[in-house]
Amino acid sequence: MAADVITQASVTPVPAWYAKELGKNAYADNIGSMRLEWVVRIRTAGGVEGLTIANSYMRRPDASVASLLSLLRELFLGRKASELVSMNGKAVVGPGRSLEVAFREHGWASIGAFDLVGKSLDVSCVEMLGGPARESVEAYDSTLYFQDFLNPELGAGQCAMEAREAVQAGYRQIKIKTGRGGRWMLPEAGMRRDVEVVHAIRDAVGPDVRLMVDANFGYDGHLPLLEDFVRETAPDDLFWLEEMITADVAGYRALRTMVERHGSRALLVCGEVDRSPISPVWLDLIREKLIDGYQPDIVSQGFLNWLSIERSLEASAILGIPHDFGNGVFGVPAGVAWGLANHRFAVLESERSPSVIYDMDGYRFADGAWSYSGGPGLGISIDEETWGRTHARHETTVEG
Amino acid sequence: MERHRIVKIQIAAVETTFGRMVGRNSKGENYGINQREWLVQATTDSGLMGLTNARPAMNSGSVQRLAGILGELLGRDLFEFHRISGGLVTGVPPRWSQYLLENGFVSYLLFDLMGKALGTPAYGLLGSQVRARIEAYDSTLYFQDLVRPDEGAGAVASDAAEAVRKGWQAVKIKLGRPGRWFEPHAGMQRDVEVVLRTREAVGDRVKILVDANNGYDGKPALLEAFVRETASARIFWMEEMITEDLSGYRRLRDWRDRHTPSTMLVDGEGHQGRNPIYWKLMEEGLLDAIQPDMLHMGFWPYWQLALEIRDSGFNTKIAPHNFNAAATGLRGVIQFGAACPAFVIAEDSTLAFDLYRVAGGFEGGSYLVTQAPGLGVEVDPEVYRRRHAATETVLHA
Repeated sequence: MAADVITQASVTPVPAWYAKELGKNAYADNIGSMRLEWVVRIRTAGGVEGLTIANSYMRRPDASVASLLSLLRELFLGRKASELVSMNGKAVVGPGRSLEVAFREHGWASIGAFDLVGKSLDVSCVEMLGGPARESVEAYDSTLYFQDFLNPELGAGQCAMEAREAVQAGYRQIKIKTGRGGRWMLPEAGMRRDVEVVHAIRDAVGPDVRLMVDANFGYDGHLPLLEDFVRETAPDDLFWLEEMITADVAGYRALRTMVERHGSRALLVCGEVDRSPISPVWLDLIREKLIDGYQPDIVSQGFLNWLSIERSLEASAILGIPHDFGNGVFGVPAGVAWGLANHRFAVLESERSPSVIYDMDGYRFADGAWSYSGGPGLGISIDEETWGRTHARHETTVEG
Repeated sequence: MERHRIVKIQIAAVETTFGRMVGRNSKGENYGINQREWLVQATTDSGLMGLTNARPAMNSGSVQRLAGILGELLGRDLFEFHRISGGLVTGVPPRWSQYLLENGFVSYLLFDLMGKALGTPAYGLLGSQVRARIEAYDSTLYFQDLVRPDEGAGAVASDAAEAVRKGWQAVKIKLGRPGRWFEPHAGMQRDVEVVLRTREAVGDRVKILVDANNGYDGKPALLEAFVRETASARIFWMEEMITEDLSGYRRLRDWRDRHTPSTMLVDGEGHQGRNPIYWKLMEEGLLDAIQPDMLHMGFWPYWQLALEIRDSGFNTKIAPHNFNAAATGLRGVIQFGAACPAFVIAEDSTLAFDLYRVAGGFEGGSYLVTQAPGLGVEVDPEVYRRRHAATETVLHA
């Protein structure tokens, strides 16, 4: 059997802990303290291994380990690694034969393909994505949920305290969850608390830290309150307003007008709920220049879908700001690889889970940005000693 | 009867902690470290204060919607929601029957207030006291092996042993690993290992209950293997091993009879006990206890259900679901169990809220039924003022 034939794939649930309990956002109850990272290992007969995670697949209500193993068997086993993607020199130009539909549907699997091919050919994912566009990738702390609900005695002060901690940990950009009036508070009281939280955090971190807000559509049906929020927070110099309302041309026209009326410089961004190919409503928002950044998830969409999105955005000035939450530790190398190679990329979303199973020696976080010293594929591998001691007992493997 | 008009309602989100991470079950994601109640306090113009947990309304609703639901109580006399005769609730007027069916959690608040107005525990509004202690099971033993993978099945066993050290004499273990999160055969083997390790850890006298959240659906061979291989553990009940289905339950009963005849088969969390399949299962003697959620359903509809099962001649007992209902929900289950002859055991999410002052005690794995009026729980005003008053939502008549 040829050395580059894929003979084994496995799936293993690995806990990825947050440094703290994450509270609610506008629509969902507490995020919690830990999520599982569904680690997928794809191995060739020659012993080369590609890594990805199947978190987005396992979040589907009908998904199971059994169905995931069937999918991995169908996608990978018996194929040559070199046939997973189509390349021109070191750059990937498309999926391998008969894999276009599968990689569009299961974008996360395409990242495993990139990693495996890169390691087989001794080429980094950055090179496979077109080569370096920058030396490092800025990152923002994305763990400031409705922390005031967890400690109501401190209220907005709890959010401010956690923002200060993020700055002490090296972050220069912080995203604040807002939209409290969408579900968990009365609409007006929720707007007032949102404003109070933004003010408290700006006071806590000073003028040089970049602040963004994300309402997860919490202002749907409440445009006058949204205008109050935009007006009241204009002095806080928010960098972007994310998902303040559901994507809709009329709504975004109104929001754009509010932002301009109140002298806010905030960008308008959304799109994490979209996927490649770009849906009509986002095409309209992009065409009418009503949004400034577009945000499908980096891992669930995968590199091939994002390359396709990039081609669609070519004529626009839209920033690519991939969503990267719920991707655990693996979200860092995936997001950094994409960000280093992409001219349009703005900033990496960080959920700040420390690595327990990956050897990520090539990655370094300093002064608010990730740098990467290179290595084939994503430049990460499994720490086999930890794996054997803790996680191997939950690894399920298919072979063929 | 003296009038007590409801004039003020306060809503506050109250957070507490399990003290450890509670993992996933066979179908859902991690439960988490924290748990919360949506505390609702209603005050009458006579100075009475009653409470409930509005979690059922907030599972998919909003504070705005909840305020709309609770706003209907304002200005009303607390005795207009139920018919009372001889100190017992005997029915619900048509004006409020649909409202209370849809918002069963409100009945906790009303029974709390009525009990306080009449100087009787809430159970006394349903019937005579039939037991003085309510046995409770620790219901927080989820897939702890996926939270602490280095311990494997031992993670569940050690958490069970900890529950026993804290006083519980019954524990419920979440099973159904074949359903989603494990390869099916490996999942069944882990389920078996978890049960046997837990029995070893807690000793012979502690009751072990299991709940698969339907995780054996479509896997009868694995379910039979599970029943057979765990027979030595003398499981007290098997809950939701499969989705309610006559042929599936007939098979399950046969395996139960063959391998572990004393084990109860329990099911039926949904539909307020009214789904016809529950009654078909009861008719064939396939359901040893039924489990609608107490806080969702409320006192009177639940009482009616228990009476109808009794009057139908079925031998099905009552074991209310109470996990999300947290501490306030448990107070209601204790009151219900005190008066309901068919009651089996209380589900306990084992949460301690320093906000609440609770009457009665916990001894030998059972809660002592309090004779304090209403639900037997009060809010500590100082803790509330310091922690929640600034963020509460207040409605006035």
